[in-house]
Amino acid sequence: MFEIKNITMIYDMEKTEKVYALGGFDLSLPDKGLIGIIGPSGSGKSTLMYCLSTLKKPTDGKILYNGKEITRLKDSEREVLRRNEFGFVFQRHFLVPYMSALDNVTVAATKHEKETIDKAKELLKGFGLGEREISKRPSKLSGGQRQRTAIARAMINEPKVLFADEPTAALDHENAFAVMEILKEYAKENLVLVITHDRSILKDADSVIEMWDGDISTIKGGGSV
Amino acid sequence: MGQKLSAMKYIKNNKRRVAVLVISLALCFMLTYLVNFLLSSTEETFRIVLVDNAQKIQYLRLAGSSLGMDVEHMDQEEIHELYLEKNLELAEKLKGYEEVLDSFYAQILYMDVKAAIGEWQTEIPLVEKEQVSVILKHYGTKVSEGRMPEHPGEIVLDRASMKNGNYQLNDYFDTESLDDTVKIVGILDSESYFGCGIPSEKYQLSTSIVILSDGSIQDVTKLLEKEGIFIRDGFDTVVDVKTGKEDLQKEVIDVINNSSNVIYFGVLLVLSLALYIVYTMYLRDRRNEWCLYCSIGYSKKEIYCSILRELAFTFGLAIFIGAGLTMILVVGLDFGMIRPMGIRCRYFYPEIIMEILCSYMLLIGLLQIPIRYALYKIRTIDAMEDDLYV
Repeated sequence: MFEIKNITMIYDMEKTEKVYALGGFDLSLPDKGLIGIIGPSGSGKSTLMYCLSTLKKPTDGKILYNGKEITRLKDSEREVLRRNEFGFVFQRHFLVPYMSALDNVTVAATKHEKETIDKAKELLKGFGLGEREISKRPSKLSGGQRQRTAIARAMINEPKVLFADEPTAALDHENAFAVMEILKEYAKENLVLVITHDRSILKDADSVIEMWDGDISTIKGGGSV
Repeated sequence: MGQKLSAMKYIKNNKRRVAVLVISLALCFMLTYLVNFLLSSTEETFRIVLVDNAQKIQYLRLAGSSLGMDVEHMDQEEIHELYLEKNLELAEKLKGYEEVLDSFYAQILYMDVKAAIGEWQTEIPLVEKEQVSVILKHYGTKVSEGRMPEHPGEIVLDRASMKNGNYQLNDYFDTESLDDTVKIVGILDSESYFGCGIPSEKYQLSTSIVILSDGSIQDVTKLLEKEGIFIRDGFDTVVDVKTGKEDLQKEVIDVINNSSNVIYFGVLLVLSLALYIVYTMYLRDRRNEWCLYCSIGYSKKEIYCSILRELAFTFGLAIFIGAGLTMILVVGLDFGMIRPMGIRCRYFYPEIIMEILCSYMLLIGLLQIPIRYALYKIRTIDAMEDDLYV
């Protein structure tokens, strides 16, 4: 699905001491499966995810998505790609505070509202939120319920790739594993990229990519350098 | 692309916030309209007094010198007699003109007409008993209550004058200046601040030539010029359509416009400032939300369109509620204040509504500054998370 060639990301380009967030490596990712990207802070894992998801443009190198070069796309084309093909779970849930859990899910939908409400309810209920929780605002939900709502939002358009940046960071172990179960299930038909510090949640991952200092140190399972 | 960003989600979930904004805008609509309505009712009232009445009856009060009087070596009584003679002579001459139906030399009683703001004095001709019915017939009115004046010091007033002066039938007119010498004995079947009567024997009031015309005389001075009389400002007084229109424009409309402009711009300035501050705070509160939308693939244009839809809904609802509230208050004011005062008004002033709509457009235009700035500040979540680690 993704073919990454010599990807380089340099921060502080104008300064003499450049910061290499991504040091120029190649990587190939499959069409489906749960891929974990692990590494310490500053290793470049989030930057890699943002480059793959078109939120950031790499300084150099190519990213091919289904054979199409996405690093040279116009802003509007990148927006369409993000909207139709990708789903996002961010470190913080970024739920809209005034909306109910249900509205927070449907707000991302690309199809018309009537069609998506049933689907959003099905997703939320499938993630363990009851009828009452669905109509509650994020402030009335627990941390785990918020994150599951964020995942439902990411899945509402059935994206081909789901990017999850530290999806379990704010959760206890029980909720963290519940979230990972959801992602694992989704990864059966789609590609799910999970960025984390926590190796224990990646025990069921199809592949784990370890990053160190802007480069890939090891890959276990699928995927190739 | 599919589903648009709904403006209604914010509105549905933030009813109180939106309601405060809608009610504030609606109250501004109402306030602006009501102030202009009251000011305009003043114009409506004085237009009848100054212009409409002058279409039917004109008044001339000329200085002796304008009438060609040479008063050297004359005593006061002789001057008075000569002045009377000259006025009667001119009144007779004026009858010779086609557009003049009748002309009298008469005493004039001045009646205050009070509007919502300010007052104006209008003429009540006091003539011989026989001439009263001539004037009323010419004016197209008749006594609907009470009776015609028959004795000196008796007058009839129309319904609007009775309400405006808070008079009852058989009350004495202006007792402060005239004691109990002028009595209202009848009410005329009209609403145009008009009256007529017979002079009292006790008081000698100022005099004028009263011209009953067919409605075609706009400027009496042109008739007088044909008689060799040239009107001089400060010496002679002419009440006709031309002077009425000039007075209406200068003394009423211009003054009202100045006042209403001050009020209007004051309200607009305060509203603009308050709205700008409140709206900027409101936009700041929603920054994360828009950053999220941008990150998941909504374009800034779509976000901007949803903001505009929210704004359009808010202003639209404010106009609807404001118009409804205004209508209720206008009717209430009409029945509670304007009609009992005998003042004229119109309910619908399209020019005021246009002004308000234009000012709302201006406000929406002004709010584009914080909106555009907020859009400029939208970043995708990756950039926001970068900030967290700086």
